[in-house]
Amino acid sequence: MGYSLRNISFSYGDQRIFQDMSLSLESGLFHGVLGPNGSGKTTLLDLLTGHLHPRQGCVLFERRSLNDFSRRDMARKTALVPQDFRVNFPFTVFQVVMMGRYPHLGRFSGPSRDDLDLVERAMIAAGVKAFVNRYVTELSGGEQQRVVFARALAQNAEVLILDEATSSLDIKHTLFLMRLVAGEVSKFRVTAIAVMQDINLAARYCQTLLFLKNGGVAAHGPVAEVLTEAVIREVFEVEAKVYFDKEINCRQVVFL
Amino acid sequence: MPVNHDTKISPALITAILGVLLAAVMIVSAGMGYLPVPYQQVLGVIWEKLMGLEAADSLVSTVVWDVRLPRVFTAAIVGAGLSLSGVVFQGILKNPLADPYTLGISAGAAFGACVAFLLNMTHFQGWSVGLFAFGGAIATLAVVLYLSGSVGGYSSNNLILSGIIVASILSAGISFLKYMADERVSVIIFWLMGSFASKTWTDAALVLVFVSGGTLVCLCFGRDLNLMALGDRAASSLGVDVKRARVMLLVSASLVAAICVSVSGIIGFVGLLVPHMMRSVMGADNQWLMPVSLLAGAVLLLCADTFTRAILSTELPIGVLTALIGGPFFCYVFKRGFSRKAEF
Repeated sequence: MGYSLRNISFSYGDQRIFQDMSLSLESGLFHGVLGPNGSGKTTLLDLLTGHLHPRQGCVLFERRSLNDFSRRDMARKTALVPQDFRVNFPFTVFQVVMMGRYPHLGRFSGPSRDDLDLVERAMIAAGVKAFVNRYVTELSGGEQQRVVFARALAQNAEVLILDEATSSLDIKHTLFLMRLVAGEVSKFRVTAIAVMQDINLAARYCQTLLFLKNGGVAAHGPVAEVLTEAVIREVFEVEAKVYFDKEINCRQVVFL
Repeated sequence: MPVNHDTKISPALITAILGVLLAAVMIVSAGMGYLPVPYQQVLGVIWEKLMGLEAADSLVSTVVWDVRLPRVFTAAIVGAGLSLSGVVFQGILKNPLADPYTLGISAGAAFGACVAFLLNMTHFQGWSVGLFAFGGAIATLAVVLYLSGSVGGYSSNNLILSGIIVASILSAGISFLKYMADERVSVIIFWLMGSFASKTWTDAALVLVFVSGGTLVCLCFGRDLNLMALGDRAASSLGVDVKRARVMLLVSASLVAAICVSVSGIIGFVGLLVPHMMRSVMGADNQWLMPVSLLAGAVLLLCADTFTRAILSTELPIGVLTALIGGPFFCYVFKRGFSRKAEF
């Protein structure tokens, strides 16, 4: 189950991103995707959501090719929290979170009681209930990012895809949202796939780590197995010390 | 201090109010002019015509039914079309400063019309100018879409840039044609300034067909337009086929703008202002913004046309009037938008 990529190749024009890459992402786990800039992390997410199609090979989701799913089917199953959120128009927070329910609604039918309940729950979980009627254009960057989070939660999808979703947040809100995602994974068996920059944060909350480099997988597996000094040297070309932190009970990295 | 935006009037109520207002303004406007006709009589004439009865007063009947009502309808439908088109363009281009003419539709139409005037065409029972204008607008749209198309579909920056480039080439062409036109240049200039004078039922029917067709398509894509405001990647992840939705909306909105320009000349600012005004009244949800702007645009342009036709002592070109009123208002909106952003 989950995702499986078979012999994927992808390039933007002449620029090769992936070459004959295969990997699988099991469902019900929190996967962290790490790698240097330009290693194709966001492209990988686009291939998983069906926003981009591989030039060769195929992406399977729940053992079926992504091509067999309509865009709407995919939108009911996967929710994306993109990196940057910019809106030029004065939508209210409620309206934006409600957009997470659009894939579940008919073209002209209004939201049902259930839809409104899901929106309400998502807003409470992401901590945006307090400004439900404010315009998103008037919120701070961190508040906007939490609104986008609420929208993704309202989608009630089996898969949560995060593209550096916490990069514009302060540490308090970052931890809050990482815990939220980890909670969705452990409580509701949601699959989370997160592109991240912060290795320590990934080590702390993810169950598996996927390191990308030079058009392919550099290392992939449970945190305890792949988070090593050798891997970090190979992938990021920096020296680091990996140690086990007893306080938080997981591996952490110090850069030398 | 958090602002609560929940106290806004319900959009359905605004739509209903605007609908009633539009009907009232149409009837009052048809009664206004050199020969004032009370509104009961206007309603009487409409009733007679619809029921196929004998006219009680043939002069009043001719003035109201054959002269004023076609103009009233055309003005209202063009106002509706331009406003709807404005909402769609602002939504697709994610730019609140876009309007129906951003992609060069108006320059294309003007160029087509100039060619028709220059060649002194009188074919197709006087329809040649409109036809050429429409052809020019469509050709411009095709060129702009061709120029801005890339692997990832049509990005808003590409579209705006291509529109500006094509429009500036065309306006140089228009200047050249004006220069060539010699003493006939006044006809061109008058056409470019826009007018609803001597519009017929055929004009009204023509714009009605296009505007209602375009409106239906756009209304179907209301939610997609909302999602596209979040960015292409987000919209795509929420089930929108962004490339297809964008082309459908662009083509429909452009066709609507093209037919409006062909029938009435270039009328600026309606398509820019009405969406702004309505957004500040009832928020950004395109599902309601489109119908509400449509009705508000109809009321606004009809009022402006009635003002120049029946109240001013000499008729001012409608395009000039909308720019004179709309321009300063736009400056106000623009300035206020900036100072509000500066607060955060």
